[in-house]
Amino acid sequence: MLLSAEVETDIAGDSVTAEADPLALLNALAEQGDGPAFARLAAGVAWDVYPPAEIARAVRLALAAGAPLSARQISAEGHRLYPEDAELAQMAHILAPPKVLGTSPANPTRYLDQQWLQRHAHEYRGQWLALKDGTLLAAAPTAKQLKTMLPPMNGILVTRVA
Amino acid sequence: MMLYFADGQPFTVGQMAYRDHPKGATGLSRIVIIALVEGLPVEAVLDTGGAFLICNPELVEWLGLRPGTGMPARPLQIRGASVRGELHRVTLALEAQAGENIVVEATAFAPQWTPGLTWDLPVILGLQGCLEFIRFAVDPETNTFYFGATTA
Repeated sequence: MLLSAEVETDIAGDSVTAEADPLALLNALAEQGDGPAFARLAAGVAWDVYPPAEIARAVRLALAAGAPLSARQISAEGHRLYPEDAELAQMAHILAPPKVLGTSPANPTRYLDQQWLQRHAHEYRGQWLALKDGTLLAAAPTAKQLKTMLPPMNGILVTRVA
Repeated sequence: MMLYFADGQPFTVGQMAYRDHPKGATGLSRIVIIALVEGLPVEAVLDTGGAFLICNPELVEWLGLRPGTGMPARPLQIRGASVRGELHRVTLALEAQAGENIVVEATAFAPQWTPGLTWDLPVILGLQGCLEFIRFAVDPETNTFYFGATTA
């Protein structure tokens, strides 16, 4: 394991300062599910001393800890350091901040489906429904059954009534 | 009607009606909108305390998100059961009834179907990784959801 820097964290309520492997501490925090402590510690880690596989492991630990923002930051930094590494590239792509791709024309008839659901959904509790332009196309107990009943057309709203 | 900043710049570009009704085990009201995930229209619940777009197993199947093609994610706890899944990148469109749709690329959790699992959750739109850079506002008097993109 690589030694990086002096790190300070709080494990099980005890504040400790340790000349230790940050990944070992991150691993412990992930096992505890302590996302906030994980995020604090991860923010101070110098990732350039770690090989790609260890950085990828840290990304997985961040997700396991419940620290998705740390996972995003670590994967982005790992991809910056090792742009040729396929796993880090995939992680950085998947965890990247949402990206606005653009706009497209409105669908002024979609509200008809919502109106139908507002009025009739209670009659179909537990059922899967398919709607188009405010018309019920099919209802079935499972999504799989519903799919076999549907015509091949785009824009069909499929939903389950709770 | 769109919403604007005081200087006249648009705050939102689109608006849609939402359903607001008791749903799920808690019986609490939720804001239910219609969104397009990879072009497929689905009802989705807003969850500003959550992360990612949470698919249901049926949507995963329709989208063809095969196990092993994403990255492993933290299991979700559903009705006391731990549900494994993977993260993927998908396109999400908020479908306007007036104005324009917004199309974003977001992170989605695709649950791995387990025999015997009862999954009665809707599709969920979390804040982090999904709605993070979308402006939105809600008018509970008219059940209108307004949305726009940030400039970030």
